[in-house]
Amino acid sequence: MDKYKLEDDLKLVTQAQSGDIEAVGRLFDKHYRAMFHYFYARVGQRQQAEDLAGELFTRMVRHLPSFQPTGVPFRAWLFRIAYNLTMDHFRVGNGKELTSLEQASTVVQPEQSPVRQVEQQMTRDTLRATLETLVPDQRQVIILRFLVGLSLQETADVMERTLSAVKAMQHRGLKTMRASLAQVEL
Amino acid sequence: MNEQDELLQERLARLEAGEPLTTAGADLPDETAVALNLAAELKEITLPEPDETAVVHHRAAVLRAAQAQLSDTAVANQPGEGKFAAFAAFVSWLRSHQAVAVGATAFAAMLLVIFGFATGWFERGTDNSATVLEQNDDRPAQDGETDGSSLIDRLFGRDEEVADESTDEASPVASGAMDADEAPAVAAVPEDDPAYDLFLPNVVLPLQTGPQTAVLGDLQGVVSVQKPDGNWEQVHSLSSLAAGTRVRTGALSKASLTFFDGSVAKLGPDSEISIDTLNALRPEEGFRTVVMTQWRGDSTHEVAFRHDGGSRYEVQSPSGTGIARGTVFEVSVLPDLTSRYTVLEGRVDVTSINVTVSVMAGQLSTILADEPPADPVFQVSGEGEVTEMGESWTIGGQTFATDAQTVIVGNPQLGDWVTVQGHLLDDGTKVADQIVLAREVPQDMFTLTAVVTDMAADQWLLGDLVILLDEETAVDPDIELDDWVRVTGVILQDGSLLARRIQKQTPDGSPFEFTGVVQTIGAESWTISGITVAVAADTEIKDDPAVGDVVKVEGQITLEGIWLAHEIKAVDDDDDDDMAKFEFTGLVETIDPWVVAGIALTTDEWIEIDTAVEPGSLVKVEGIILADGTWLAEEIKLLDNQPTDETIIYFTGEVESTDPWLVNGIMLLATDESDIADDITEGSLVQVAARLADDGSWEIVWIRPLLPPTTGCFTIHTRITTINGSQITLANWPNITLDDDVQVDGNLVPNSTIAINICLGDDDTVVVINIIVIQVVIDTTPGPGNDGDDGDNADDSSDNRVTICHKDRNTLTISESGLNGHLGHGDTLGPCGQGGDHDDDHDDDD
Repeated sequence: MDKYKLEDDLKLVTQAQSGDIEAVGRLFDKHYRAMFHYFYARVGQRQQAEDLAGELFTRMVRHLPSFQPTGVPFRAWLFRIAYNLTMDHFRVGNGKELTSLEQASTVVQPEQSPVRQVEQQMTRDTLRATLETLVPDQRQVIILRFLVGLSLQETADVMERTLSAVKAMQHRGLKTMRASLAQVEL
Repeated sequence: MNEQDELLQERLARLEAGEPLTTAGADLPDETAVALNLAAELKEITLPEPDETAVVHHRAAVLRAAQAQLSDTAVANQPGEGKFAAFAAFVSWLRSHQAVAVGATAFAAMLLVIFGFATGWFERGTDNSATVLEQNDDRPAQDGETDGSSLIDRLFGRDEEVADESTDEASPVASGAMDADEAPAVAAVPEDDPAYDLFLPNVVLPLQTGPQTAVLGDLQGVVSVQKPDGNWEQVHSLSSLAAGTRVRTGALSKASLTFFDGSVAKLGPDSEISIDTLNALRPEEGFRTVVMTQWRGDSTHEVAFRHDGGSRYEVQSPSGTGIARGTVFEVSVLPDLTSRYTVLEGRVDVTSINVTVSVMAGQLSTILADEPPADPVFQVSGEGEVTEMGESWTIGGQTFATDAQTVIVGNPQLGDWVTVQGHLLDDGTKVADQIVLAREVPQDMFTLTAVVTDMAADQWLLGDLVILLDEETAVDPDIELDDWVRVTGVILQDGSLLARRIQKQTPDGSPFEFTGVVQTIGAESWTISGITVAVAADTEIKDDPAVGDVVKVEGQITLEGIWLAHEIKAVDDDDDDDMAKFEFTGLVETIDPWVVAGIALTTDEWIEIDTAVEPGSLVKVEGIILADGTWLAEEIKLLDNQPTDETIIYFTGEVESTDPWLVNGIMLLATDESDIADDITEGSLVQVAARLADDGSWEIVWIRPLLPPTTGCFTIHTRITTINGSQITLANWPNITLDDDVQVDGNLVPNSTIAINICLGDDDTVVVINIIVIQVVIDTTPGPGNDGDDGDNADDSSDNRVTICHKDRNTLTISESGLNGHLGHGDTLGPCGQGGDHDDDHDDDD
């Protein structure tokens, strides 16, 4: 039985707040990958995404004492910090949102065949192109829901929107992307 | 629209609950069905995984931040202050716990990830084991599900190879190459979190972490671990190492060992170290014990500070031992088994033959075989132009003596730019310990691209331009008339152009060449210094290179970004000209940091970069691969994206005349469009771009200065002897006068050890950039009325207290005995500045 099954975020956060550095490490272990994927989807560059994810958890440590267990769920709280961090990142001139998603496709992956590299480049080019056709809120919903994997409720919590609003943005975003993909297909 | 929104979400929820797409998507209006299918396929996209080494470092940084926050909170929150009650409790908890149960902390996020989306998402609740992946690979397409032919599959693709790679990558960890007993267990995905059930990897192989293990990471080049049978096994991913393990790095390689308490040992190239004793307990758990032996090469150690009196961090070498409590230091073991301990922060006690010397920050001690450690001497380091070579070298205007222990890397010549590390003798003599070629003098070199119009044995015509060839000129095969070629070479004294290299320019790629270390050899591709190089049937592979060998690779970067090798050949160790250089052409992806054609590049302040370069520009990059495998760009030159009918020559040289313009014997014509930098005079070293005009003359496109107006910059460690106003007298170094604009970090007091950064101008002027106080040595000689013991049994140390600024925030008065520890972690002598959070009342007896 893996111990992580028994530990929900709230328990880990409480432990961390009461002095368990090991719990801070477990929170990192549990959420780093999802956060990296979120940042990657936003900035499109592996190293920047790694750096942002690292910075996110440093901020988490800083703000952990102020986290209220009775408020927004922890993971949504973390994504809000991530969202702010991304906005800061773009504000200080580190690049335009999504303009460089394709760059990661050309980062050489050891032991990856040349054919695979070409395919992935096509993949991410197209993903970038289609995501760019969305308005920011729709893009955020699509990334959170389908690339990062948040539930509808978590997405609503992160975006501080109602479930109905998220459902609508989700639907419209998918329709817009579908239309863009159809253009690519043509 | 609301109804459709609800309907889509209802079907998405069913998918997320594990229902197949075929049924979840049944009976939907076309528009909603399309959205559902797209959502399902989006969820199958494989995003890249974070670099494992980055995860380890970030995790360590986060834990350090948590601990630092605790420390800060402990200082800032005295009893009665309720401001951060939770963290005050945290501190209390830490102090009261001497042991913490350390579980098998899974680095879930950093471990090798296998998505297996279809199984993980559509078949929720299936076994989260490695076999899931195998099923996924072989799983036939289900009804209504993509079988590789859908739009998304064509665009985004199912990444079977990623899964394969992950499995392969996991094997060194799972196989327990170092210790079968430590083979990590398969960890399950948390089932009580639906989102995680959907998107976390199906298989997580947690890395073993704990006081008795160190994480081997930050892998670059060829890194190997010795197995129990004595054979060496190359490591490709993060591994847990226990005591008794030996690690080595190859040429152009590096690695790091991260210990459980946050201490880190970084191995340089061609190095070998063994872990002898390992129990890296954290402060709340007990004493730390880390003992290693370095057999050869270089290592850097960042040791987490401990003031418990019982913790050990020792690096033994064939000729001595260095013991640290909390500091940053380097260890070098030379081929003759001489060892050198260099301290960057804090203090290290170096011992050999029962003789111990304390080496302070800014100092180093050398131990010859079977000798006691030499008295510590101050370090000096820097970089500059070589103007004299021999028993003594002049580098950046500074003279360095050499001795039998001086190591010279890269065959530097007069005019080249080198880095130097050395030490100061008591008589002020500077002795070079290591001189490394940083960049060759670029003077007299040219590059141009043009069409071949005539070919003869000793000269070619490119349009009307004559290019000379000799027996050393390397020419790509299959070049024919009317081909575009890129020519690099030297400008002879008479201004004629002698080609050193002629490369064919094809519309479907750009040439590259580099020298690197072979990491893997495959049928379709090799990995060389981190670069995946494709090999084809016609790729020439010479000298049968093996993993770990240094090779020179030449080829083309295709339009798809693939590095396709034309030739791979082993490099002769004696051929310094071939060592660790690179040159390639590609598109700029990012500028900060620099990434060109998928290659991450580092730069230094001397790099020559065309100002017009921006993301998307086609550039030619030249540089060297540093000893640790880092690609250091020396020049990034903007190229035309497409060959044009113009012939542009780029070259470097000395300005012989400015009216008319004459550079390296080539007469240049300035036009209204010429862009010529200011302050270029006769004798200046410059870069030139010139266009071949119809009448055969060269029209200046631009001329820029080649080098900054300095001959070298240095960091000198020394001790302040006296201070008299702005005049500072230094031990073993000329006195300096401080200008108002010199930045001083710390308080300048006599006996302080300081690091001075200076640059020397080409007119021999010395500019002090800044001064950093790195260590304060307090004179503890008992004086009148302070003999150290007044016989009253009171705490005599109160008479020897000093005031420091702790963490840039808190002014503390502490015992002298704790001073070096505080200075070691960045505190400064004297009270905090006005901008800080003054807290003069605190009294830390640390």
